[in-house]
Amino acid sequence: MTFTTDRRRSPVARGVVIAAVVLGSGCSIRSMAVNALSDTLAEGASVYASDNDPELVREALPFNLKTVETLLQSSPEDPGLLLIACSTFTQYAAAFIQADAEVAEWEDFDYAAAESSRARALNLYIRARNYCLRRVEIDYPGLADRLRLEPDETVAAFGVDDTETMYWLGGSWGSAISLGLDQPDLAADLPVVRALLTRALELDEDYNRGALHSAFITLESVPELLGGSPTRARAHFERAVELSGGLDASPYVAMATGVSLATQDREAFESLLGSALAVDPEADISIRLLNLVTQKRARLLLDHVDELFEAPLEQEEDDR
Amino acid sequence: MRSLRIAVVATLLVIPAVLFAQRPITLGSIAPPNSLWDKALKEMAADLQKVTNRRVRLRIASGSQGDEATIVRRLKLNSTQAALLSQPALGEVDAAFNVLGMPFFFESDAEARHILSALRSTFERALADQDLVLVSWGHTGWAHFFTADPVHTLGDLRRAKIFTSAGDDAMVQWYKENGFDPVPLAVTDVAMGLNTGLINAYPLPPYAVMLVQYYRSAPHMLDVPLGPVINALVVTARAWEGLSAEDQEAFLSIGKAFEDQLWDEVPRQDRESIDAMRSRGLMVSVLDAAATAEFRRTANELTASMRGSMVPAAVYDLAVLARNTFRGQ
Repeated sequence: MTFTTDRRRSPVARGVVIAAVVLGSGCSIRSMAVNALSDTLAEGASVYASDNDPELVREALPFNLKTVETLLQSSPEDPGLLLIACSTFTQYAAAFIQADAEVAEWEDFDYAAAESSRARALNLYIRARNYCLRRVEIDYPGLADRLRLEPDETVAAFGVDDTETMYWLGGSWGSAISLGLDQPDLAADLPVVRALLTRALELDEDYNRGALHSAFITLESVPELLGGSPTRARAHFERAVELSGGLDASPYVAMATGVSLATQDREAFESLLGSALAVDPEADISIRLLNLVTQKRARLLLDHVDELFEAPLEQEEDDR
Repeated sequence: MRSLRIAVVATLLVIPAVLFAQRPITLGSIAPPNSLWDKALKEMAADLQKVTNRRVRLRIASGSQGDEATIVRRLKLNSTQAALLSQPALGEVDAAFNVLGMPFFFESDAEARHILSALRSTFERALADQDLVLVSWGHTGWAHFFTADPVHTLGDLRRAKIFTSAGDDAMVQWYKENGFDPVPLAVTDVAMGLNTGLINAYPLPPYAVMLVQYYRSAPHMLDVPLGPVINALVVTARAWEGLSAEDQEAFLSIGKAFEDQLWDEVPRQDRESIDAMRSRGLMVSVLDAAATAEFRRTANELTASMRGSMVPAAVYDLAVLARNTFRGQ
């Protein structure tokens, strides 16, 4: 996930906004104000993404999020605001709240605090997912329900202008499922996530300099029984690094935590995290915040490498 | 100065617990992270840590220790000191546990728990022979048959090509001797088997089926459960003996709460999984009371053939006795 929001409104949505203003109802001034603010918020995403102080952003984002929700009360079908809400809630939950859970669990075996943070993150991911579904329903009424029943067939309706929405919808939904495997009605929708991201990749392979490939590293890291493949994960990793020019630390961490941890390949794990830490956050300030947050996680993972990896069984048996 | 003195005393009171905190006990399981089992294990770990003032800390290693055979090998080396093991793995540890995997032997959670309680000392001895201590029982859900075509009788099931775990030769043999058509396959080949028609029936708990999505290829579920997939929370004798009597007592008490939680929440999760799959295309074959009774009567005759072969005769007899007592027979 990256801290950016590319607002490409569909012609239909643009038409709705213009019509509302031309009709000159009592609500038009408020609508204009909301639209102006939502444009400002969208442009503000780059201010957050390039920040060099993750703690400042962490403290600022809740106000931003509640502002967006307040605006949505006035304009519940503003497609731009809905997408901002979806993407920002997802990023806030992933970068800060879910990260708290890892710190609590790994630093001090504090499972109670970890579960509390995970429950919060899950709630925020679901909220984000629901905003994206509302965004989708504006252009494709009834599609949200069909997605759950026939995901592969339904995503064919999306066009290239929907890539960003598909990315955030898939990202928020997949993140929610990963934390809510004890909720069957949520976990049953894992095929929807794969269908959304597959369709997005077909339409816009190099979207956001490899962001979709980075997402696929995680998606392909699920067990083979759930449709994952370490081989495909590696192919996506290589393409993500290529598209980002090696300036994005997140594919390295995704590969380390997805494939290397699952296969208990400690050497590859440490090497990948070393590569993530070698990325210079100043080399591409448009993703500086993402790199700083990712590198903080990489350091935490390396600090706890002994707990994350078991000694090779054969070695232990030989030692006996 | 008074407040400083209080702070020093408070520090002295806190320090011993930290100083004497033992190395964490690593608890392995094949449960996926953030699943119901993983969350319940972590809740248990948090409670145990709190009650023992951090003297007993569990490191929950869900899904990171390899398959259950590997976890059992780690237990033997004491490099993993505790585990949540499912019935097939327990059956590899000692054949007594095969009694828990007999098809159509149990009819309800209450009946299963009654039999587990009645046979507890038998299972404890079997585990003690392998230097393991039984803490509590867990639950993975009730296995049901999922099939490509609807099943209403054992005859329908006999005509199906049933998935059987590759390497489980005794089960393959049992199926064949009783007129079924088992197809041994690696677990990772089930999806391929369903898609190619190599198999068209498989037994799994509903939650697992929902997660791996096999119901999209075999969309019928027989609503006569095959049996509960029971698991056990065990600790190596070496780790157990390293705990004080007080901490062992706390572990057993919190382990019992963990057991109660799973036996309450796992069946609920299965019901919700069935609902989730039904809304996405699953069809459930519900038999009437007479057909269910006939199904179970025939199945009971078949499982009796496991006595003395797959299940030690003495253990089988104890289980039947406990079941009869529960049913008031």
